[in-house]
Amino acid sequence: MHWFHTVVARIKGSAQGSAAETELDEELQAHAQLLIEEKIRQGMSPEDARHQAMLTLGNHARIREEYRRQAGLPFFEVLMQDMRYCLRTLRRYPGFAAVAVITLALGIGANTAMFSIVNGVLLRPLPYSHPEQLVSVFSTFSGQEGLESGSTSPPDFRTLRQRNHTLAGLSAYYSTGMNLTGAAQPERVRALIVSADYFSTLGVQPAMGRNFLSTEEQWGSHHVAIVSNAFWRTHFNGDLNFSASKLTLDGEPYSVIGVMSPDFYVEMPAQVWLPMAWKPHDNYDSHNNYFLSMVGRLRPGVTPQQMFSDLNAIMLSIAQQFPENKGIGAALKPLREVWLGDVRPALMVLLGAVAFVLLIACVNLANLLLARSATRRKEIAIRSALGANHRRLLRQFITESILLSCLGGAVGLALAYFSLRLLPLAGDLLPRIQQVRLDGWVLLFTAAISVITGLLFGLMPAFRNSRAAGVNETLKEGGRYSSSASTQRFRTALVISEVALATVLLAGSGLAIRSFARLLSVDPGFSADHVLTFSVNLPASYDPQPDPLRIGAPPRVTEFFEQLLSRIEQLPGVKDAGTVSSLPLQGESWGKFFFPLDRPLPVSMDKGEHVQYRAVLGHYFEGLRIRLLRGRLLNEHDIPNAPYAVVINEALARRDWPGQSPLGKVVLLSPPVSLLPPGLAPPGYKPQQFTVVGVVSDVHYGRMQENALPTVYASLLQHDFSLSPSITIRAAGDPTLLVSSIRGILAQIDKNVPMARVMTMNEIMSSSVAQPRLEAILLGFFGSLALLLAGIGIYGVIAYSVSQRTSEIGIRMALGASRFSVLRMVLSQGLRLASMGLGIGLVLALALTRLMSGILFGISPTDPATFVAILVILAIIALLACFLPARRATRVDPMVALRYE
Amino acid sequence: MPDAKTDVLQGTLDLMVLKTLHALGPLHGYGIARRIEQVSDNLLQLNQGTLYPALLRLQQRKWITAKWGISENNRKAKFYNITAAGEKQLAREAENWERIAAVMSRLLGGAQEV
Repeated sequence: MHWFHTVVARIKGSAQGSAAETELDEELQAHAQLLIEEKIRQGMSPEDARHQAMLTLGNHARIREEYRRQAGLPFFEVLMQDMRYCLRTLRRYPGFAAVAVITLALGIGANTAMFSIVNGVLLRPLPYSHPEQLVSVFSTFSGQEGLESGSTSPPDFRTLRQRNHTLAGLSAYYSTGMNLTGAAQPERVRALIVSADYFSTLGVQPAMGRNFLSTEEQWGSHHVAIVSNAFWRTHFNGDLNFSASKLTLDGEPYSVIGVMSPDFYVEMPAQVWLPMAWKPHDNYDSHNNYFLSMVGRLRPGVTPQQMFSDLNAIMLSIAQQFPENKGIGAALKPLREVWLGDVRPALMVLLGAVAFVLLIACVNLANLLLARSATRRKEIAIRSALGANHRRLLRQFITESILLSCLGGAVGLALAYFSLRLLPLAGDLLPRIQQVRLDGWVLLFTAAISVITGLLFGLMPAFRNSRAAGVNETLKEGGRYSSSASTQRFRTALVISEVALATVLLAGSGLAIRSFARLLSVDPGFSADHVLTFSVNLPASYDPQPDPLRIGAPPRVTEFFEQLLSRIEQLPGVKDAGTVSSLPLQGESWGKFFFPLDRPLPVSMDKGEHVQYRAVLGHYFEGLRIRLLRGRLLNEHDIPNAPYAVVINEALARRDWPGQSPLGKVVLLSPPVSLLPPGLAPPGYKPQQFTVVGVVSDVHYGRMQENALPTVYASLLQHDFSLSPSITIRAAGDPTLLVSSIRGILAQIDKNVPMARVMTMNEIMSSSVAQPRLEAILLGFFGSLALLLAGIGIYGVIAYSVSQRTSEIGIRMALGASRFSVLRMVLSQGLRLASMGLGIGLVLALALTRLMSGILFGISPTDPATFVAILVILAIIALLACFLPARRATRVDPMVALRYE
Repeated sequence: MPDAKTDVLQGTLDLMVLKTLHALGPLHGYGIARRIEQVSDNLLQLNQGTLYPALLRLQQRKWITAKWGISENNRKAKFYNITAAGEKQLAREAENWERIAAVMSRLLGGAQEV
């Protein structure tokens, strides 16, 4: 326990200050007196006795110092003393302090902000119990590329759930929009239709109310809903008695049984969750439709490999029973990977970029401190003359740099706090964005990097400055001082590394910007200007008896769209209105088999070709200015009784009819009877024969980064249709002015159908490239910061060396050197530094930009044009940074310069 | 400062101070120094000032206490006294020291015999 008493006593002693020392002095006084008396008794003269007593007692100052060290907390006392001293010095040089703190705040702030994003999005575990056991389960379709992580069908899901031996739970879900009616305005809500064990598989419970029961998967008892916290607040005013509430969704009543907690997070956000139940013989509930996502929980101790073989064995046995399942297997990935894998490369690149910014800031700071050492030379000499040893000075310098970096860190933390408040502007670019905040981990991170930064930039200058070189000379020099050759060499090395770091960072931002420019220059295949879009969702009552043999949409659907489109086109300022089953840039969604009849049929279904399918009506092509390349567009003559016509895109024409005209070719969009397993075709089934009547330009339905897939367009009057398509309207002027009159038309046709997802085509375009744009903006910002810091670094070193060489330049000019040759001399010195930095930076950049390949589009990570461009930019900045001091050098008056000597 | 040497000295000095206070009761710094020199037959010449940081250390550990009093020459002086905890520490340290001394003497004696 004695250490505890000691610590307490020392803290007391430290607080007490000098009182104890006064006591010590008294005590020593008494001791000395006793000694003197003793010596006198032994016969010494009083003089000698006093002298002897002092010798026996020892050096008074030293005893005092040792006593003081024992009495208080010397580490902290020295620390406080050093900090007070530093703050005084900083106040005396506010310019230096401001530059240093701002540089550090930018570096540390950027790192703090970036780290809190990475921490919230990537590092923090998913908010479920044992999230590491959760896996996404997919269907794989042999022979179909791009479908390694496909969806599953309801019967496959149920069989997997029932027969597996490796999962503690398996659930399925799909997202849909539903019309909420009952209030003044119908409203579109996002619903997630889930199997009853969805929440229990994730290991979460509703915050209020109860979970779904397995019996609620039965058709008829499925009219229950769990709602999100936000929905509960807006629609039930946060009423605790929600269980009495009913919701009318797509015309059906649902009782609310639960409310989720506000921080419940899934990658597919929803306002309501409904149990998944199927009407008997519903076509969706068959092996024909693969649209469910699955999430499962591994049993403890089961490896993913065991689960993989377990599920695939089940898929094989399903395929034996149902031949149409041939070639369909199962695959799995950790849930975390599926939800967050997409953003990881971008976040990592940005984190790397801010680390570089901080490194450059460190180099700049080190340089600044070394430059300052010249002015502090005298102070150091005086302190060491007064007895401060090398260690003591070193300690003070390191305290100083850590104090600086902590000040910078504090300001940086504030910067990070405010920049994180801008995060919502990034919208839904980032998953789990609501988890991003400055928590304990982030504060710890900031504290740690502040200290590390302080050491990083402070250590070398501290070692150099604390070496007390020739106290005499320094003091005699009377303030004039030229830094030693080695310090100057060190500063040169710092600037070279700074330019190298800036080169790497600039290469990264250059690549991101050029890749983004590439993306913008991709031809989307349509013209977005003046186009308004919205989607409608027709309730199932529009198609009460789905009939696989029926050709085209049922009369109510046809009537709805024909009426809607013609009435919209009658509005003043509207040019073309059309409808399409799904809009460009919203993802490839609807695939179909494709059998051209001008060649032999494939031997089996799984050898058949695939295309994307879009059902259109009205003036969809005209509205989006999709270019007609050959033949004709679909028009008002393509009606149910007319010959069946399709328009194909260029990619399909190129794939199936390279070098020849596809016009007039006859194709099937559903399998011929001969390829269907016996008994599967409904009686009277005969696939429609379509004639290709036109070829249009490729439209990007998927991401702009990907090539357009082969696509077929048919009129919804002649083939499959969608109950939730989008409407496209080209206006003469601002398309958003049309919204309220269109809403009026829609309400007149069916007041229960809301106008959902109203967006201009330009908004869709811009949000489809939002992530690369954000990356380009951020990397561009960090790159310019690096450029600025590197410029300041070069300027500092060259300016200092010019001021050092003033007399030399004066002599040169006195001896007849022209202004031009002086200019050239200074510039070439700076450019030598810059080009060395550029060389090293290039090598580093070539090695590091490979890590960016995941976020680049259309250019290689070693794109020569980008590298040349950044070299030129850096060279210009270096030239500018050298030019100012160089011009000053040319103005040196030889007489004045020499008089200084 | 050569730390290793001071540490040995400190530990030894602490023990000597405790033993002196144990044997003689309350004493001031001068008295302690005199006593140590006498017992060592003046073989040990202390820098007597170094006693004071050691006394402070022992106080901080609550092994001794200090009180102002009047010395034999009628001057104000601080008198130190050993505490119960100090007695315990003394017993522990003395035993420890004797063990080491025994080992050392056996070791050194044995070396001579070879």
